[in-house]
Amino acid sequence: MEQDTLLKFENVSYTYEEEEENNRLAVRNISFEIKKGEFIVVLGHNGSGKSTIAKLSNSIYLPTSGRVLVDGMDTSVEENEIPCRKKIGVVFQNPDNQIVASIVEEDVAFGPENLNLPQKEIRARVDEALKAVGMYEYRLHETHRLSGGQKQRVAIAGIIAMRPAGIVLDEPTAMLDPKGRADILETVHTLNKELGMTVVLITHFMEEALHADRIFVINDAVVERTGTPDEIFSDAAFLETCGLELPDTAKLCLLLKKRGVSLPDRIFTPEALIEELVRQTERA
Amino acid sequence: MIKDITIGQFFPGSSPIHKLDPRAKILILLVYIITLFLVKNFFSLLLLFLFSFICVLISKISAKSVWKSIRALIFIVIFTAVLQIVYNKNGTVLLKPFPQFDFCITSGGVFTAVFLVLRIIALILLSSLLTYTTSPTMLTDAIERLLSPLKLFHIKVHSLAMMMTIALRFIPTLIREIDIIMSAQKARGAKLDAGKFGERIKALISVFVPLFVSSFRRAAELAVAMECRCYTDGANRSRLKVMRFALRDYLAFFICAVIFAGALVVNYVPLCQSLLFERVI
Amino acid sequence: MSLLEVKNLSFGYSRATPFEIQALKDVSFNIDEGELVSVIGHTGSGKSTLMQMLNALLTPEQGEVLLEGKNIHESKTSAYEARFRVGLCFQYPEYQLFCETCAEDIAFGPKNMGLPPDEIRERVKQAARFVGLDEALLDHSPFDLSGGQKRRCAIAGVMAMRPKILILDEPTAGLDPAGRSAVLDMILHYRQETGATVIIVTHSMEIAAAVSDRILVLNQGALVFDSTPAEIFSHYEALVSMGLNVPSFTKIIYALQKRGLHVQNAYTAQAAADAICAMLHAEETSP
Repeated sequence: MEQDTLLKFENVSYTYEEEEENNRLAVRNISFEIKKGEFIVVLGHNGSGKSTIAKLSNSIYLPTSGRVLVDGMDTSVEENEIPCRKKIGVVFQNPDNQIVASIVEEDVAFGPENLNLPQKEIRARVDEALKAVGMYEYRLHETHRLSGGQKQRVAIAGIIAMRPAGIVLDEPTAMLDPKGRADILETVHTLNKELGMTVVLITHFMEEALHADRIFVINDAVVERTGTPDEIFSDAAFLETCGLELPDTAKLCLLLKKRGVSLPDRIFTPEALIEELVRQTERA
Repeated sequence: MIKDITIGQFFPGSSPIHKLDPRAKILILLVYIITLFLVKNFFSLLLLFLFSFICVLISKISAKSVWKSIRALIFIVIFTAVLQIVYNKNGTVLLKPFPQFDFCITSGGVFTAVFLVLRIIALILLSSLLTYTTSPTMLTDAIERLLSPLKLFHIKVHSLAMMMTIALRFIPTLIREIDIIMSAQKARGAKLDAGKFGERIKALISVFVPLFVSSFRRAAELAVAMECRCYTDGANRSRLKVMRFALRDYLAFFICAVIFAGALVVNYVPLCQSLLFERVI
Repeated sequence: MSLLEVKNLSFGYSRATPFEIQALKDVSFNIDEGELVSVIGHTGSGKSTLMQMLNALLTPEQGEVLLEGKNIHESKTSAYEARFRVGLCFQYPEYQLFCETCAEDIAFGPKNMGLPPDEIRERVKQAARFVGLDEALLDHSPFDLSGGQKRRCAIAGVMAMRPKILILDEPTAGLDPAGRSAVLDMILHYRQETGATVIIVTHSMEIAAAVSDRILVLNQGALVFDSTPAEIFSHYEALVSMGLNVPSFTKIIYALQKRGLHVQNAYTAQAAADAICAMLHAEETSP
């Protein structure tokens, strides 16, 4: 396995045991490779199986068949369980159900405490993690009084205090208001750009995928397509068959083209569209 | 309203009381409660009451919050006082409102009533101060350490403490959840706050079923989230906040020891009592 | 006379504690029969408090709510009846399902109204139709349904009370794009069939823009705007300063205007496309 691969799925299938889940969600024979430092967005409608990927990636679920490798370590091997979880942290949808302690800094310390680190090291990591998510001023606040977005940032801090190489976020913004959603996205981009962390963002909000390095589209338990945002967002029909939609800007571009406006292909961010329209009017 | 419960709440601060080692606070509170129940003498009680009062002042907890904790138990306070005044027949008769009945109010009754009320309030003051000035995690940490000798008897002290931490963390969340579910069922006409007894019981089912379902879901999700953060039951964990007794803790022990001993001396040595009485009366 | 008249409502939480919140400040507005109104505001703007006053779950500290001219907070009986006349569906309503079968759960409200069994059965079936819940599923446990079906079942439970006003708090929260448009279609369909008045509480500007006749904007407990979507979205900067997210089409138009281009305001994809086309044509024809 190559040195710079952080997470690798090899023909992974996963079936829920029937008593555990009524609607036997699963992933079927999926394979992909994520390189260190990449920003990946996994898109799929509810029930497509995209959330299962999160739990498979750090040994919470073990594949029914196939292999998951975290930095070369097979997650199915028992001794690899903790090392895998140290390498890849997972943040879930409901921030309330991830916070263990009543005080912000005590919660962020939970992971490092489990790693049995010395006190000074824990202190340093907690402060560093809280600063990275912009919650340092809140370190002594009670967790239950925070807003949803703030709680979710504390949950992210709790993961990065373990200094993983990668972080998988399973619909982290689904329960948040627009402000909270924007804050989380900014935080996640900072982690990727400034701390060089590998990020896998699982979501059904198209706008969150605009700045990804690569997008995986999941439908009916399989990876239907992978590609850069412009590859994925230039095929509206395909997205629709996967129960997804175009990002707003791409939608607008499509309508403009129908009205006879000539636009270059692959415009999907507001900034790009605005620049193009300004250019066209200036030319005229 | 259910949201207004303040018992068990923590108000972060930096007063000397906040800074004390939680173990010291728990131990002092324990000795204080024992002393409080040993003393039968009014002056001793007054001393202990003043002690708790001064502690509250030092902690800089707002009077409103303190009053709230007393108000929560005000019924018990009043009930105790009334019981004493009605049934205690010691001392001289102060008032006999209905000559045809045996009922009368005696000096002994009034004295005991005041004594018991003071004792309960003193108890509430210092106990609520413990939770007001100590974060729940620190509190459970302290309890875990104080109970650690139990490990010798193969009791999983750490798991117990973790359970307490999580319970304390989720109390506010569950209170809010109950509030929402109750409102939602009331919006469909559930008779939660009015109606016949049978109707209310039925309505309560509409609250408890969703609450249980969601609690189990929360528990499952929390367990996964904890595993993701490398938690394994029984493994060695280090701590962000290491507890070490500092000078101020020894100082606190010393001051409290003097005050509690003083209270006990006044209580048990007859000479002291007579001296005090002569001075005051 | 309007169907619903809200006059000078004020309310606060946790009075006399360090966590005191003034949730509503002197809020007044009217809603007419058959309107579809969206109430938007950031988290903590007082939306939820306001909604719980409209069906008398909460009693205002000041002000009154008149439903068909009568104060719903007048007596205990009027407050209890208001719950059925103003149906309130909470956020994530699927978390309040509790009966053994979907049919029983939908019937909970009508039963509390004291309706005869035949009528209840009729209403359950009709409500299930409104939300597009397969009749075969009515005998299943609500806990066996998928997430989207649970949401439909819970909404049906409120619709079955046949309220004059149906209030939905964040009906699309947590749903994916397909789920979102399905729920919105369902609400529009319900409104068409029954002619009922509908209030949608949301922080999604896209939803408010897409479906409502009128939008109320709450900010820190006060009602700041009460107008048509077109009018509301022309206050771009005010909305942003309130922490609200403007529809992305409005954002693009606004950015173009900032760049000195003459383009009309718009808040839906179609309108934005039309406005941009008009702008480009105007530029071409001008010298």
